[in-house]
Formats: sequence, structure tokens, C-alpha cells
Amino acid sequence: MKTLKLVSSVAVILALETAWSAEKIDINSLPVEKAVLTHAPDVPPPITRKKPARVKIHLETKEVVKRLADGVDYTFWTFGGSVPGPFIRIREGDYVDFTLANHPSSKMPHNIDLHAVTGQGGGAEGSFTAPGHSSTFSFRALNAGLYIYHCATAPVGMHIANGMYGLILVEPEKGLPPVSKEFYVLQSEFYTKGKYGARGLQPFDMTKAVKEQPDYVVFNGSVGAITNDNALKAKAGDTIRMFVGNGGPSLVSSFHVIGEIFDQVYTEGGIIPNQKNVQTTLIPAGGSAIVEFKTEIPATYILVDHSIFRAFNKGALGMLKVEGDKDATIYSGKTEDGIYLPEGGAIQEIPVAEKKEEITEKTFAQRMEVGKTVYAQNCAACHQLQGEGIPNAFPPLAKSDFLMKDKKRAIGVVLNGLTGDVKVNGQVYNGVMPALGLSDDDVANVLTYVRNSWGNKGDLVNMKEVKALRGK
Amino acid sequence: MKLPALIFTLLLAGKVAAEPLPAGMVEVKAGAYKLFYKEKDQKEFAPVSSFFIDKFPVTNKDYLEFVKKNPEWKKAAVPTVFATTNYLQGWPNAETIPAGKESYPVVSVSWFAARKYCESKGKRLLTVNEWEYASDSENPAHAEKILEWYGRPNSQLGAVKTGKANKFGVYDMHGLIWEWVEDYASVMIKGDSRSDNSREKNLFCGSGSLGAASTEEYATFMRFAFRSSLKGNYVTENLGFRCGKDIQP
Repeated sequence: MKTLKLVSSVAVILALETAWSAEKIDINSLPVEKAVLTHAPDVPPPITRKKPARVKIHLETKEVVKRLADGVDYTFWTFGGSVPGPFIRIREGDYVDFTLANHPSSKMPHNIDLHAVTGQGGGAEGSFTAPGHSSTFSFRALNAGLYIYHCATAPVGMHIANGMYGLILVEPEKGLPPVSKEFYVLQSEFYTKGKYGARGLQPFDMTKAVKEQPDYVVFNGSVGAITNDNALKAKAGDTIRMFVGNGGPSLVSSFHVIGEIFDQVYTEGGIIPNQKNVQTTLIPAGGSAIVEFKTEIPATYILVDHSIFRAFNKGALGMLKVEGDKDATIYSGKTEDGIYLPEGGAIQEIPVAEKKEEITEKTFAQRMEVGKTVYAQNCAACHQLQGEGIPNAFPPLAKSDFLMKDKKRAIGVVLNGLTGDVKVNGQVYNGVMPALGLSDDDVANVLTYVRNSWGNKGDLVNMKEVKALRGK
Repeated sequence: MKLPALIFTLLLAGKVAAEPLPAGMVEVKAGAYKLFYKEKDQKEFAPVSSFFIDKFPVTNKDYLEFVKKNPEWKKAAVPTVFATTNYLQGWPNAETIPAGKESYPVVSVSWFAARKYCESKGKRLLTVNEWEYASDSENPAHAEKILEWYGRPNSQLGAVKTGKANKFGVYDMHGLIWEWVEDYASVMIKGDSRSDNSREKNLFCGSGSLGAASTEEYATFMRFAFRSSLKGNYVTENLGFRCGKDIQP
């Protein structure tokens, strides 16, 4: 909003804050520099200069096939070859020459609408570009804030659904307060023909997109982009700033970090930290927020969309791994472990929703490969990626006597679930494992995998063997 | 704005072709095309007269013959006002087709070049309405397949005659390349204007749906968006053409 025409005293103050916007500047006298662009989760360094500059930005649009989840590929339409597109950092008052180059191999024309731009289409009008061509337009960064940019070519929903978005930060003149670490996190969703986890190259599903029912909700462009080995990393005592965007195209994010409280939030990507001690902040589609917090103690903090089925079933999970010295005066960890079973555990069943298609038997190598993915999607949350389990909670599968001793029993457990005492490698566990609702084929895949991984040596499990035990 | 889309369509509707079928072409019988974008004063359907259409897109082999007879259209001979410097970029040199790609559709040709080619054969480019009508693209039976093709990058081009002929006996209208049409810019985009002023058709963002016959025909949106991103001298790796011909009584 341009406030210069207002006359109230508040407006005068605001007008002073943005006094430069009324100035006519000589754009040819500005120092020229090239913008530093970074891929998520990295953020370009803070801008230290005290004056506006003429900033050159070059961004390429490219259509690429990449991983969406383990075993799942997708044809992404991208800015800069990745989803999300690169982080752009400029300063309030800068004059930007923006060049959008559409790679010759693109099938589609593309353009860019930067929400930071005041002007026709946010630049979409000046950047509409056929494959193998480039367009340049210029704009003045009048309003500081954290903004989404996205492709706005018709049909716009599909261009966004295929991955064309990113963040541009227009730093306020005085900059942002210094912090130890800055991260770039962007949430978005994908609509695929196959359901979540269905393997192979998945095409865009227009019907699901129009209904706004995505199969995937992810941070930084794919399932697991910032988990485990790719987790964000920091040290206890660090101050953290996350620039969080929501590319949509449709869902609104309830952004939350499990185990932390945002010390302050710049809601909706504005430049005033306007709330302290926030648990979950709402980020609209095509919007952003800046969250800041101090990591007092070491832990793995989990980033989620707290519309929680998205985190559990659609991929909206990230991790911030913080290392350092524990402080039991802030958090002790578990100090006692008991058993409490007022009514006994009951087995839950995850319903089988779809009829599985007829599949033929596979080789050992095929089952190992597919089984790994099935394991990661259905089992690893409890039994862990290396089959090590979690002490006192979930028994290990790696070198497990219980698993290896009786193949039929193992099949039965995966088919029907398990409850009550079970002794694994001399340790008694008492938990509930649900029946997983896997197909005969996937039961064979996952059991072949777990019985031949992490030091286990078994044999191939066939679909036939699984079928024989189903319902018994 | 190039040729008004429907300038000749009313003349011959319904008449039986008196002219014999030219080689390599089929006749598309007259009918009505449901306009995807229409002006306020236009009817929902536009009449399309019978016309001849090339069964296949123009191939590298066809195009090589053309440049041999018309050397001013050879690679590197064409001024940039008629074709940008990447004209025929896949060809090793002015008179050589990439090995084994004789029957691939010719791509990286400009609108001017495509027009000239058709003219040299006594033909012409198709209009948007003719192309859309002949492509049977409103048929929901293959809408999804078309959309999938648009969603893939154009890494692998193949020879013409992929799949089956459509109901008019025409091949490759979808799933192989984009094609030039005479009035490619008749739905002209001036930019993103989310205002709904005047005659500008806005194919950007939400406003892209204003004035469209159906907001669910994503594939059609993409064809219109693609066409409107072009200029007459542009060439792209996936853009070729085929010709049409009036039927003389």
C-alpha cells in the first residue's frame, strides 16, 4: 500500500518510513549487482549495503523429471530446475532487471508473477515467454516483505500444481535482526493419478486438482526433502529464522514445529514481528510467514502441517536436528517406564480401500527393491529405517529371532497384526501392531525385504504363500 | 490480429467437394466448432466449411524438398525477421536431415516459413477454428491423454503416424508436436491484465478462465496459451505444422 496521500499523523510516520518511494531515482546511477540465488533450504546472505542498487536476476524455467517420493517420479515444471524455485533476496528500494529464460526443451510457455512487484500481473505480463526464448522486465521493490512468486500462465492452477513457485524476500531498508541460521522452507501439494506411494512416473490428475484433494503435501518439493540425512541442522543455543512459504496451489498450511514454540512470527510475511509465543501459524496459499525461535536444547524438531493427516499420510514432514548439551532443567526425557493396560490392547485394522490389480510373482531382486519402498512407507516409522526398532516400544527386525524363526508366523503378523507379549531377542515387548491392509504382493515384497536385510538371511516370500494364510 | 478467423467459413458450408482429393490429404466435412474463446457478440458455435487437410504433419523429408526448390528458406539463409537464428536447429546443415529422421515432423520452423511451404504446394495454413475442429479435441474420450502428453517434456520426438487416425482420418493432431495455424495470435494476450477491459483476452492466472467456454478443458487452455506466446519469427523444438486447402466447387 502506498501511504503518501494520507494525511493522518500515523500516515505521516508511515510515509516517512517509505519516503524513498516518492523519490524519483536515477536508475542509471545505481550501482549494478547480480542477485545471489540459492536452492532450498539455503538462504542467500543478508544484504549489507545501505543504498538501493540495480539488481540483475536471471531465472530459467525448465520442465524436468525428478523424485517426488521413494519410487515415485513426477514431471515438475520448475524455476531454476528445482522445486521450490530459488530464493531471491533483494533490498527495499532496489531496481530489479528480471530476465526469465524458458529452456528450449520446454513444452509450455511460462511467465512469472512475483507478489513483490507493483505492476501489471506482478510481472506476468512482461515475462510471458515461449520455449527457447527469454523476456526481461524491470520493477522497483517498493514494499519490503516476504513474497511468493509463481508462474501465471493459463491454466495457472496446473502450472503451480506442477511446481512453479518460490520465495522472494525484499529486505527492509534497515535489514532484519541478525540470527545464527536462516532456512528456506516451502510447502506445496501435488495431485497424481496414482494414490500416495503408487510407484513409477505419476502424471498430474486434473480431477483431483479441481477438487483440491492432493495425494502429496510436502516441504521443499518432495517427500523427505528435509528429513533424516537431509534434515535442517543447528546447534543448541542457535537463533533460527525460517522463511516459510506456501505455494499451494490450494491448501492453507497450519505450520507447526513439534517441540518448539515460535518466539515470534511475522505473520503473512510482513515486516513487523506481530505475535510472540506462537504454536501454529496459518500460512495462506500464495502467502508466507517468517518464524523465529531459539533452540534451547538438542532434539529433532519436526516440521509439520498440523492439518495432521497431511503430515502422517501425505508427506508434510520436515526435521530440524539440533545438537548440543542436554539440559534436564528444561526437558528431562522419559524418566519412568511402566505398563498400563486397563482393557488390554485391541487390534486396529487399516481398511483396504481399493481392489488391487492382478499381479504376477516376482524375482527375489524385484521383491527386494520394491519391498524397500513398502517398508519405508509402512513400517519404518516404528521399526526404523535400519530395522533397529525403538527400545521398550517397538521390537527390532534386524537380527530378530522372532522374525526369522517362523516364516508363516511372520506372514500372519503382517496380515493380521499382533497384540500382547512378544519376546524378541530375549526382550519382552507389549504393544499393538495394526493389520496393515497390504496386498498379497506387497506383503511378499516387504517380508522378502526385511527377512534379507540388516544381517537377516532368509529366502524369497511368494505371493502364493501369503494368499494361503490370508484370513487364517 | 492476423486474419479474422472466420472470413471464408460461410461460403461453402455443406457442399460436396467437387474437387478430387489431393494426395496425402483428407476431407474434413463441414460442421460447427464450439468456440473456446468468444467475443461478446459472437455465437457459441462457429460454422466451419469443408476443407482438405494434410493427413500428417509436414516431415523433414518434405521440408528438405521445399528448401532445395526454395533456397531462400534454407537454414542460415533466412533473415531473422522471418525466423530466429535457431531455425531448423536440429539439422546438421542446410541440406541435411538428422540421420534416420526423414519421417519425423519438421520442427523449429517459423510461421513465415510454414506459410511459405504451404503456399508452394498450392495450400495454406489452417485457421485456429479449422485446426481445433479437425483435431476433435473437445472429445472427452481422449482429453486425459492429451493432458498427459502436455505434461511431459518433449524429450522424445517420433516419426509421424503415431497411433490411430481420428474420426476425420487425420493423424498426430495430439501427442506429437504443437502446430502452427494461420491466425495463431487471434486470441491475443496483452499481458496479465486481471481487469476485464476491452478485447484483451487474458490467459493468465484467474483471469484466464474469463470468457472461456469451459474452464475444465485444460489441454485447450494450454494450446491457446502456447500459441499466444509466439511471434511469427519464433521457432521451438516442438512446433511444426501441416497444411490445409480450400475445396473449389
